[in-house]
Amino acid sequence: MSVETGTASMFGDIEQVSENQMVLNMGPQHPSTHGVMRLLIEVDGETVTKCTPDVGYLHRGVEKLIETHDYRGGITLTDRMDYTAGPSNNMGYLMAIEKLMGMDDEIPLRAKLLRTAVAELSRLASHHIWIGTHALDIGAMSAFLWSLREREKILYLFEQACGARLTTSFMRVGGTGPHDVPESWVENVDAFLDSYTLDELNSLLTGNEIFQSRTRGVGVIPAEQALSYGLTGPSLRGSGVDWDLRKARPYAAYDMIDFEIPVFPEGDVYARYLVRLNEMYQATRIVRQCMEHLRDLPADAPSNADRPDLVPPDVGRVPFDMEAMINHFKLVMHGVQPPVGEAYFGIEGPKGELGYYFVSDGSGMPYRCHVRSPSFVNLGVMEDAAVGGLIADTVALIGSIDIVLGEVDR
Amino acid sequence: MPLGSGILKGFATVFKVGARKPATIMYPENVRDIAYRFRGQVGMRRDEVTNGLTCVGCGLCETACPNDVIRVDTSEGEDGTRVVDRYLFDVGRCVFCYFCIEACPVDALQRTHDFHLVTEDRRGLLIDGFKMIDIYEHDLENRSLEDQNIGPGTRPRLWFGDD
Repeated sequence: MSVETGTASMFGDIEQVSENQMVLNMGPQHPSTHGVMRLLIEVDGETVTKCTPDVGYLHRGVEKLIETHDYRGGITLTDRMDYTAGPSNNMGYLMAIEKLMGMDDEIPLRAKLLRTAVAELSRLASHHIWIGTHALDIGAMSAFLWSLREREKILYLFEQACGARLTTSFMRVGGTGPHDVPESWVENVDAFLDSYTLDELNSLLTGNEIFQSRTRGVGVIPAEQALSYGLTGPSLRGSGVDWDLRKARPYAAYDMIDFEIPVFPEGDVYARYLVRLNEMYQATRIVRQCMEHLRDLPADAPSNADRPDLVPPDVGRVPFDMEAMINHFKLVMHGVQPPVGEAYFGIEGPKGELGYYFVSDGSGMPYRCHVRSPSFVNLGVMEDAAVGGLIADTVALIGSIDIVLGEVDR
Repeated sequence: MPLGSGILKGFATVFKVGARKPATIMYPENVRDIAYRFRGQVGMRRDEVTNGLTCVGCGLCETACPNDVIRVDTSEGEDGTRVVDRYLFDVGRCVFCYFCIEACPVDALQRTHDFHLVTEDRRGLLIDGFKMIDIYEHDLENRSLEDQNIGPGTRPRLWFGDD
């Protein structure tokens, strides 16, 4: 049969399909692509013989926009990349700037613990979105509604901590900034963890025969292939590679916390499901330990680094104290000014290694910013992993590598 | 395990959860609790002496804003001090990061819980300082003082405090 060359001409070699083959255009408005992504799938009958992801529909130029803002203004842009886990993005961004300024060791313990706790809560929220939409793609409706119900509680904790549910803009360079959490927050998190359970989702999906037959042995990514495509995060650990930045290069407060990294060797969709499910159990453990450590800290423990050139003074003093006023005005007008140099810092985001790279020319705005977004890198494996499977398996595969198009296109 | 037992287990969970009270909040009739720190529309405090804007026209909020939301027009008054002629706030561009409130040295800008920002045409999104005063004072009337979970470590600012 003939092929619509209009859609396929962007991908020259797809035009040469044989009689039995056809090109299927999945997206950019397809519900299972999790956003505006287009997949050009070449099928022979029902079997996929070639799969080409076409991304860029949600490109907003976040990296270039960060270069036109001061270092503080960029925080609001990072919220909007991986919008399922805003605090994780904030944290990676700020820790890269702190590395650029060479002040990694000046961050007080309270800020580190809060960052760790909030990052794990956002991992939980992100995995809830993932488990819901992934199950929805495969045909389970209740799991979606239940996991969004649980996620709503986490977002309410974010709202109590900083005032926003998704676009948190939580921390600042040098610590928590003015948004140290309210006193009751620790109790609220504990109350949430006490009432939180994954057993419902677990009993709905893990043992379910339909779910298993849709996921077991489907979309297998061998370990070598995962490494050669540069996969990180749960997609890599589902292929049996034990690599997690939280253990390999501990940052924030992860070195004082006891947790495990789940690894499953099968490499199929089900293994990636199990990795994320176990990560959710581990995330609740980490948050609980962070809350215990926070409670052990003295009440007057600082939450910002002792750096007047980064952390604004108490604003109540500003109208009455000339030094504080000068300091405050200088910080707002000029902001953080890292020395000339470059720095890369990666954290283990919910979807993989989330890295920020900065080049500073000594001014208040980054000269160059690059984001290593895990969703974009992980999406590359689609080209190989989808081949040989069915069209319905491609849907399961997209769900299992957990992409967020806001982060893929940036 | 016999085939189908996993599905039956799921059914049992569905019936168990289905018997519970629904988690859905029927929105316009019922509203969930809003956390005290919720970042809604930015409001402005009324100056009790002049009955006008508290803003002194320093322009720090203009600088701190990442999206060019705020515009402050100032001129020199008769006694040489700076006078704010017009304070414009474009709600359509605002991302509610509250950097402007952090930057304000005289606590003229204040947080509110107002999230009903719908207007019938686009011009309604451009509001001035006096409209912001109205929003703030209207919000204060509806705000309960009990849910102000403020604790140590919070910087003692008016916008965190017991206004």
